[in-house]
Amino acid sequence: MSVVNLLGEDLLLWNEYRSGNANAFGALIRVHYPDLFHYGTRFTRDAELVKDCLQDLFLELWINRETISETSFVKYYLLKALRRKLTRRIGRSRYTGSWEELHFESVFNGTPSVETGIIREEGLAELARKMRHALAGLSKRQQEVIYLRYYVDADIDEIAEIMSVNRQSVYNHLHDALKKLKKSSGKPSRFFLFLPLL
Amino acid sequence: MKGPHRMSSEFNSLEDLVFSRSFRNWVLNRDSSEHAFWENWIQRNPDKAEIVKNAKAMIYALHLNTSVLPEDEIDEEARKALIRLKEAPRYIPLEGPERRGGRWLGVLRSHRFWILAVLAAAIGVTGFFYYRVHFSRDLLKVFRDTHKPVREQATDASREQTFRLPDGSLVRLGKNSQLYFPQEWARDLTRREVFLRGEAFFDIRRNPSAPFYVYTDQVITKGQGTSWAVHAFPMDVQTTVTDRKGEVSVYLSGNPPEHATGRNKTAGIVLGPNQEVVYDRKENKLLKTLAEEPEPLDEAADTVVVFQRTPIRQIFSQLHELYGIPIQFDQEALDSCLLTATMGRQSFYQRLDLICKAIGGAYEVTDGIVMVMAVGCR
Repeated sequence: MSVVNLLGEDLLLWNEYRSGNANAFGALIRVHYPDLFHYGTRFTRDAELVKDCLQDLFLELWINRETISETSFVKYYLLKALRRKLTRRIGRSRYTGSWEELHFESVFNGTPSVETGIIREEGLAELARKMRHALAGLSKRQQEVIYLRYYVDADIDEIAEIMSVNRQSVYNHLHDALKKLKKSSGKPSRFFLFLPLL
Repeated sequence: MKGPHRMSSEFNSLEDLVFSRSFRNWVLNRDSSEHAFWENWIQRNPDKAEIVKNAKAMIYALHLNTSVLPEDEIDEEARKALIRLKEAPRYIPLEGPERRGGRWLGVLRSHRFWILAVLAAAIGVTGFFYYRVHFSRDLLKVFRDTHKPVREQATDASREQTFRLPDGSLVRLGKNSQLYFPQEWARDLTRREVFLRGEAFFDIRRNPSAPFYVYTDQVITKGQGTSWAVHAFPMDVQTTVTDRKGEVSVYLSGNPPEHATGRNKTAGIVLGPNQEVVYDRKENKLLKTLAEEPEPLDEAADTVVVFQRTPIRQIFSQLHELYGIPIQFDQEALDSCLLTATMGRQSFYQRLDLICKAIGGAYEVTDGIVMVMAVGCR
């Protein structure tokens, strides 16, 4: 996934888009599409549905550009909006109040994708495999938190915002997930007494 | 708070490393520009060797073969979006509070937000129940409108009521229940229809040219010359239809039999004697199972039976005849099993338990059928 340090550029594009610059809006879409798409396909294998939701999202953003506020968290704003859209679309097709029950498809199944040949260090491949196993065993929510933390580089507040849950529960999910992962490495963790300093 | 440019002294814990872009780049991409920095850092912090190793492992574990969307497909999607903009209407409301955008973080922490949220939730819940009650009235309203004039027979909490409908069918209306039915029943009716709120037992007079329909807010039951019980209180969690005699079909109210054509034809569930349908409100689905207390088909039948070295096959078939419930078992495995037993007052399930215990097996009810699992007899 793209390592973007576009905060400044992002903001610029966002403000341009808000003032009605379609080219800037196009660039904004272009920049965020890969992450949005990847995140969206964590909830459904139906790639077309995700594309559909994104198209709707873009259209709404455009139409409402004048009432949308300035934000320095463009990416998180978009991720949150997409998540909401997906919740509704997927939730609607299955009916009823299972509002929150988006299923985060485990992205962490199988063997580590980095070829084990590259992992030269002794015991590292084995350790990675154990952790991969532990990852696959985490709850959907824990996986989603880890995903957002690792891939989207979102901090606790931002994750809480994207997932529409409170800060404490994100913190707990992350904490529990990391605890399980550490446990899977087999050693009691006197090294790991530090909580994430986010 | 985050980002690649931390001071080295900040990397104290495993998660500091794992969630550092810089460290990750170095692990996954050895010849990155961060190479020198990290080699150096590791040398200066030998006490962190274990953490570094674990962090590396975790990064490998977290790393995905992300199926990246091809560039041209992204271009295509962006282009599509821009084309749609041109045809866009002036204004459509965004979903919910997204409009407030940049302020969310602050908003979430403010007391006012939470007070408003609680209020909104309260209104939402009230609205939901209003909607449910209101919506359920609608079905009855439709019924009333199509059958003017409609008569209502109601019971209170003190007692049941038994009466006959104009066609001669018998209804035993349970407590706190209402039955609505047309005032007049023409001779050439093609369907006899009633609407039930509450619970009732129906014993229908046979008339093949006019099937009998019991409507409730959730399910519709259709039968001809049969008897069955319906339990459908508006605010109750469960709606059930229990067949006692003959065959009935059960449909979801949202999917009445006349809509069931072609591919949807299976939308109804057919029940035999002592089978039951439970309406699952949450999933909006019908589940087929067995009556809680199966009753013998023929009330006068002698339920006392004595088995003396009787083949299991025969016992099951007798049980089936008595209650009309299908029983499946492995004929071959139980072929040689003989059973000696006396059964008197036991209920259907007690009888099953007894038999299963004797042969060292077990049973389960699936889709209204009893499945006996046994590998042979002990």
